[in-house]
Amino acid sequence: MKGDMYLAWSSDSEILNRSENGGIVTSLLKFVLDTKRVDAVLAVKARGDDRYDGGPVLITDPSELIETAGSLHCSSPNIARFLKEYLGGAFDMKLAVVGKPCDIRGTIELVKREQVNLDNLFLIGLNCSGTLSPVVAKRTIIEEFGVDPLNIIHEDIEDGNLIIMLKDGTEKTKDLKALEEKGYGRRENCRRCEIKIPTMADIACGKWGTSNKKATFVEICSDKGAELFEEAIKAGYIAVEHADDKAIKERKEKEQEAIESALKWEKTDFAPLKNMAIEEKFDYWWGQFSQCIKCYGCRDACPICYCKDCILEADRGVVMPGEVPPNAMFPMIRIAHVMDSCLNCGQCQDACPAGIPLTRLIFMLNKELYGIFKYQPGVDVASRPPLRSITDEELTIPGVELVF
Amino acid sequence: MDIKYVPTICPYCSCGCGIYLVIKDGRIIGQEPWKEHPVNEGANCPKGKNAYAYIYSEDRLKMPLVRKNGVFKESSWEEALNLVSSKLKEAAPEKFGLIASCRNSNEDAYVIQKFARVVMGTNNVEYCGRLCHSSAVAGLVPTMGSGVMQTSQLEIELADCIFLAGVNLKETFPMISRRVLRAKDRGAKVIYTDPRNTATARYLADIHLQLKSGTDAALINAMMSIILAEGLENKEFIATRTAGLDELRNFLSKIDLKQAEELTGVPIEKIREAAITYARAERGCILYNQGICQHTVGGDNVKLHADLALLCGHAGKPGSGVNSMRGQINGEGSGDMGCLCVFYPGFKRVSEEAAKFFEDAWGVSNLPTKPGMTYIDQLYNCKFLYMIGGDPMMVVPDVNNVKKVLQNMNFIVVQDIFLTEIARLAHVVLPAATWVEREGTHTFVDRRVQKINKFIDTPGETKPDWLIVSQLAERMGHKDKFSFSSAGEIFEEIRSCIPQYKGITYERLEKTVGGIHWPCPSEEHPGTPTMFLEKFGTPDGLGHFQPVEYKPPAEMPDEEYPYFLTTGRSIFHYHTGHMTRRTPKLMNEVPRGFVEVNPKDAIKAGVKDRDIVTLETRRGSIEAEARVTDNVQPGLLFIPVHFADSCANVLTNSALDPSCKCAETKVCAVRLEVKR
Amino acid sequence: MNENKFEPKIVGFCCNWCSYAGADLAGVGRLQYPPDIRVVRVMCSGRVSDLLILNAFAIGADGILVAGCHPGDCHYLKGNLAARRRVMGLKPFLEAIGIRPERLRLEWIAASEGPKFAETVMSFTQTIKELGPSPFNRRRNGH
Repeated sequence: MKGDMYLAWSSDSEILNRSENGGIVTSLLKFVLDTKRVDAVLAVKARGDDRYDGGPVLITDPSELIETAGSLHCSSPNIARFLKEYLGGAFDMKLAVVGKPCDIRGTIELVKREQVNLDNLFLIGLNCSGTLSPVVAKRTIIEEFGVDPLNIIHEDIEDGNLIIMLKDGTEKTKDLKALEEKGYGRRENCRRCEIKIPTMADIACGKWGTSNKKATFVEICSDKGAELFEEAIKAGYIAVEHADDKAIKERKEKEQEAIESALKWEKTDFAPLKNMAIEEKFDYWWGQFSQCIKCYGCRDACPICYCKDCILEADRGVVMPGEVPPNAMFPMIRIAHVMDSCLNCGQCQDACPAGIPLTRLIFMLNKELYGIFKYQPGVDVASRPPLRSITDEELTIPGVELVF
Repeated sequence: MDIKYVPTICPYCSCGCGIYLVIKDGRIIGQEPWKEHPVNEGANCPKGKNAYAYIYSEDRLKMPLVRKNGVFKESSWEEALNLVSSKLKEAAPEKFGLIASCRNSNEDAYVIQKFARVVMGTNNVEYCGRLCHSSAVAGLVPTMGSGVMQTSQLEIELADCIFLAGVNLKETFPMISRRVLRAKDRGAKVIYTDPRNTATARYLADIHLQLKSGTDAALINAMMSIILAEGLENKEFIATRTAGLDELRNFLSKIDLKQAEELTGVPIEKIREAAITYARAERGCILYNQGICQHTVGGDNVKLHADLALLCGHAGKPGSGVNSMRGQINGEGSGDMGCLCVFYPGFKRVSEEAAKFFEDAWGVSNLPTKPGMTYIDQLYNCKFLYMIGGDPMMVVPDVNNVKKVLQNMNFIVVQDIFLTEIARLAHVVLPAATWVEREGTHTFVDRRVQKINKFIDTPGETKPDWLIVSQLAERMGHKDKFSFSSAGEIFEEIRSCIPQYKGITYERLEKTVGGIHWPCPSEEHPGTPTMFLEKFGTPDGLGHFQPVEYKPPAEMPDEEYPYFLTTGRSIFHYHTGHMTRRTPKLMNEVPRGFVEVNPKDAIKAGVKDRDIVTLETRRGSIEAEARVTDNVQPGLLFIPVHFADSCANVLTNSALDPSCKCAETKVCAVRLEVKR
Repeated sequence: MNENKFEPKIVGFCCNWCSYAGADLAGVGRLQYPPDIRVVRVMCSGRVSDLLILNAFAIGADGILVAGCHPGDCHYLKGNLAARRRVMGLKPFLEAIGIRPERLRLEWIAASEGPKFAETVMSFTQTIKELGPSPFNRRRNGH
């Protein structure tokens, strides 16, 4: 049932061996493919044995699923974009999609915009403490751990530490906060992200609450998820036991710790921007935007952006063609159009050739808009983006400002 | 449905950025960031973001074309190659010219030069790098021993003073601008020389030396004279790693700063500020490009910048040096492979000794021992021309004259992916495969060798360049020396005779994201990001100062032709425009040729923004759309080089730098008239 | 820039059915208000998109007034409600990038409210005069 929590593990020994925890995600994917409940599965796989290059894969052959087992922390693929751009939003196919909370939330925002068909999807969310960008990850491992990045077979983030496991079985651990204060560690947006458990998916899977047993902690988040899970159990793909209070408490505590750390980083990231005098803000941001070379990388990467005929294109008459930097409308419209739904996924900032701190600005604005409209993007399909929706109640509110 | 992300390298410039192509059922349908790539970390520039559009252009050449009764007719490979081989057999070695391009892969380039030397018996083999970076060799070989880029592009962010000499970095190397921005975040200062007030001047440079066209020598001499007068030269470095300062010091003592100010148009205080900033830096890095190269004094200009670096000790460490910014995907590689009339592969100077080496390596005899003709000389003197991947009708100055000469040739065979301007004049056109349609390696700006894999089928009857040349060689009786069945086999041969590539293998390249910098002498060697760490490439290992006097450009404005004309680039287009003009999103940005006119000049000439104007020089005339802007100073006009129907090189001066045969496409005299 | 000499450029987007009629009434009634405002008639305040507002700032507006019908009176039923949310959303954005949010004002002005139109324009013009030129204009003038 929705809300149920389990400790679960795969009944398939090969999957269980390959997996870090209980192998539940892989087993569920296998279940839906074997039983043809879906046409294909959208998951993440390392390119060959390169742990620093994980990308989306579309799998139709169940035997290929085993290669997606395990987690990759040193890459941040854009799953929602892949779904929207290359899989037609799942209008023509049934899919199971595996993603981090930001991937799932991006998908849900796209559902609201009628770009993705939620009915055709099983959303399996993964707990996430953050990802590292591959180049920074390699630098961190070389410069701080003194290890060859090719020597890593596994990396993990746990209890505020970055842990790497080498080929010879040894482990090395470093305090993540200390690393990040030096400029190593996770992507900036991941550090301040408060959404660690993807309860907006159908099923949320992670290792918090497992006390490091070889199992996966599963939370059922929707009726669709409940049905799927029960059938997978019945069909013998997974075995479960109900999560006891101790496990649930452990999970809650770990989540709280992670959220507290995130909120601290959020303050660190946003305070300098908020504390500038208004003239300084202008000079700072227009100095940043003046480095823009009109690559459209931010627009392409943003899961929320979906217009086939984007207003910022050169032939639309809003932004003068052929100018670098593009005129003021380019950054302003880009930000204004997505700010009420920004997921803090960080894809825009990753994509910017000029290193403009886009996610920092746009998510900061999103948080301010949250303060006004109380809207959290990507969490509830039924709640509408605040700057693009109105309710009938507002007809009777006389003032020029609303209070939520 | 088969859909996958495959990693490759952008086909445009020589930064060598990684991109993911999205391939569905054998066709590229999109592209995505490849965040693991160390050069660009998932970011791309406007061209890189639209990288694959050109492959699917409708007018892609798919079949060999043979001219019959003045008109091109599609023909078979059999017929076309038979015709070409029979024609080339008629050619005396000294009348045959072979011009490769910076777009060929290393494997292509290697086979191409081998063809010229083994099959045609001539050193008349060149590539388009002659027209832009031949000055690197002329300038840097005597001073530092080699004209290659000295630092890895990643290390540029370590510099605390970056000197952009004649390179509009923001528009031509956006990914390297990224490194400069990071350096600036750490407090680095950026000096920039350019007669134009470009995006680089406005947003990247701290000190913009907006000098008059062609006066770089006067400027650098003034800077060095100031540095010596202030005692800011790096005495330790000079003592341990250089020779010849006395002669330079003597020469510079005669420099008149007031005269320099007048000549360059740059106030002395600014020259002084730049000189002191560069000299005082811990790690100064010069990045230079066509703004100083494409002059009759291009080689000398490069020498001067080398002198400046040696004077201040800014060479031989990461993030410093004097760095040639080759712009093309194989600008370094095609030269390494020996597509130069004075170098065999691996920069062995053409001589009896070099010829003997390759006779042994290739199992042949009678290789040519005398230097061949350079690119432009080949055009004007040969009667049989084989052009692979280049378009002299767009890139060589004085295009109208070039056309006449080409039309008088006995036989022209062009091998390319589109019907380029020269292809229209050819007798036979052979359709080539491009980029991810064939396997091959490319060597990018910082000697970074990267591999491009074949991901899609070649369209129609196209073939990789190396295969076409090999099949031609076979028909001309040299099958056994050209029996390559794969690019990998060619690369093995390259490794065996080019020591800088010896330690690089396809397997290592597959496993190393970001490629391997040569020199790489063995398979265990990690590659060499920075050159000259211990000593320079000169025979005695020292940097040699070379004094150079200022000489004005060959053609200065006068009453008849009152403006300076300079040429350059737009970020949205690439060189001849053959690829970018077939990319809709880029054409939407800049759809046609334009000319930048200063507002004061516009008023005097009665030109309004967007008027069509006629530009005329002693060579010819073209039309372009006027852009009234303060990007240019009064007295200067600027046009981009990308448009065939507004071809910059119709106007430009074919005067050459005698030391390297690089043409002075950056300065000539022009007049302007509104088209009525 | 001499504050006394500063003549702000203010754009007033007024909806056809209510606020533009209100502006008309102010004119007919000879009510005085500063001449710095340029009134642009739109059919509904809901038509005033982000694009229109941001473009006006980008091309040099020192202040932007969006005037629509009172909630419940919109000729198209809910257009003004969209305008309200939009303006509320843009204010934090403007502030974050260095443009004082007071430079954007939303006001409800009925067809009968001639005096309210005049007062609004008077007070808004005063606000903008005190704020000085928009930072986009300061940049343009080389500051």
